[in-house]
Amino acid sequence: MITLISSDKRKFHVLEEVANQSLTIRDVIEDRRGRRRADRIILVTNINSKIPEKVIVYWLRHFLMPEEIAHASMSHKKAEKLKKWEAKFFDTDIDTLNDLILAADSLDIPSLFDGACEKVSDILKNRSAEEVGEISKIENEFTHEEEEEEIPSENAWVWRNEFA
Amino acid sequence: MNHDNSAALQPMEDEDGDRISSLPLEIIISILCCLDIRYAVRTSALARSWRHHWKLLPCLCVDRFLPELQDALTPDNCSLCPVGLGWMNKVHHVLSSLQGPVLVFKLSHYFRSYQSPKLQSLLDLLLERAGVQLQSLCLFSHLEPVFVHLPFFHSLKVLQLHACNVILPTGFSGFKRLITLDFEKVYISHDDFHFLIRTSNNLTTFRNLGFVTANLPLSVNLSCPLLRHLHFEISESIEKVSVVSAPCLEEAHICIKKLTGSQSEKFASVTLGLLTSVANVSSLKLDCHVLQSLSLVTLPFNFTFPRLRCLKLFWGITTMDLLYDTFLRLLRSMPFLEKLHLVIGLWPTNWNRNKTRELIGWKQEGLPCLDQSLKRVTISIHACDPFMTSITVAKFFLLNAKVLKLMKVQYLYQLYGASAMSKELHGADVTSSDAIVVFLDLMGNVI
Repeated sequence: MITLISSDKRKFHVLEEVANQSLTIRDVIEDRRGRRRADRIILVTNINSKIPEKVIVYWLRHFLMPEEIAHASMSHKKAEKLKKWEAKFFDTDIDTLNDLILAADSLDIPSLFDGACEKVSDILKNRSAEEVGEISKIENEFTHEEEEEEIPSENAWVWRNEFA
Repeated sequence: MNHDNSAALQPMEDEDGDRISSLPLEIIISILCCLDIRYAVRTSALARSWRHHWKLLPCLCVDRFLPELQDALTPDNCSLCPVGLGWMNKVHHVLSSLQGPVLVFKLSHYFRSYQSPKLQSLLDLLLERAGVQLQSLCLFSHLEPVFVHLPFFHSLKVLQLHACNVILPTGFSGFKRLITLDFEKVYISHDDFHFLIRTSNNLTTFRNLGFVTANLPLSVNLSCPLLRHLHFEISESIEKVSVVSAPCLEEAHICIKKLTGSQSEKFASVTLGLLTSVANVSSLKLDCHVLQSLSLVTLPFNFTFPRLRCLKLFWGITTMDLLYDTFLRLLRSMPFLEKLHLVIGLWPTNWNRNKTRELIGWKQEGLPCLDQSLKRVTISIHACDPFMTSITVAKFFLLNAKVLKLMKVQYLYQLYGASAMSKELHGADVTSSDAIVVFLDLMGNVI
């Protein structure tokens, strides 16, 4: 059992096998192997407590379904279930996704990182700049001329829904 | 974990400004990487800071077949509409605008053969821009085969070609880092194909469907030390396939291109050659045509798959006279089989009904997998089954599999026959004491 401490000082106890999904944590545990129990505490400073909760839920789900099983030919259905579950898991607001990406990046959890990135890209695509701006609060500081002419004409084809 | 406390959570940090833009640039780029190039370019209109982000992308993917584009298309322009005139130029323009090295390049569209020169000029530009750094190249032509002189991308890891007439580069000495090779309807000369396979020592995934050669049928020898997944479709253009050495092979999916009955005879030696050399796989999918040509005569008597745990059999349109015997023989050759998935398709109309009845009381001795290892059997029924042969098969396993834990019967077509089947199976002799039988519908829900 190891303990993760978030930036707002909350403690999360996780089985080592589960937390091993983070390559960063795995390396830390590997480094400290054989030392005192107090060393099994890992500070996760750059994320607040809401995120470890989500990350641990994600770990648990994946721990219950090791990847080999997901990929073996016989269990497409299980893989599908996992996909559905992930879709639900990532269906959250953009701030949480943002934090998840940062957490996945610093803890080195490739599948979580890819999943969250994909979800953000889903939000970006097929929406107008204004819509995205609203959702993500990206500040649009373009001048009127830029907005009306320059940018659309720069790569006009990407704005039409033609076959390309 | 700690759900009760969630109300006491510290409030999120107050600033709720633009948090995406404040992500590190590498992360923004990996988000844009998930997008088709059009959407990535569109983000240039989000904000001034985003204006040139897309130019840093290491990938260029243009896919005509994005699901969200499919919706926008009317049936008229959806049907076989070839690439527009300016399309290549646009891709050309984007490719030359990208600043960093291009690692991933993917084009998927309705190309016409006469557009090959333009496509070639794109590839040449790609070589100029990406050079030896390109890691993944995917070309899909959905209308007509295109001619491609493949440039020599030294670090290529993934090569996917669909309907291409390929010529290897001059001075080609092998894609030494190639991991995934995915060919579908690819025309390539014998020499080039052999050379490509022989020099790709790191190949782990090889998929070859609808292979066509212009000249004589090809004899394929695979010798890939790291190969793990093999999906091979045997067609008229292939005379003999043998996996000479593939010590890491885990999963093999072998199927035969659908043919009329008279032609399938000549594939017997092909499938046999392939099967005997995949003896180390742990997961195998076989088409019924393969099974059919594996008659008792051609399968060596004491031939076994010592590591095979999962078998998926596509069992359908075929003359079935030999099939039961062959099926038993196959079971005998898999002493450690744990999971069996039978996909039952359309039954032949001339199927002998009496033979089915005869087999209902089938009791078999001396099949090691039935005695010791077979735990899960799934029977998927794809079409209506007028002779209830699926009942026979299900009963056979209930009667004979001594350690059976779970049998799933799934109706993928319609529920016709489900009640008859459940009645039959409830009355059947079940050898294993803890066997459970579950009936599922198309969506996987328990009936």
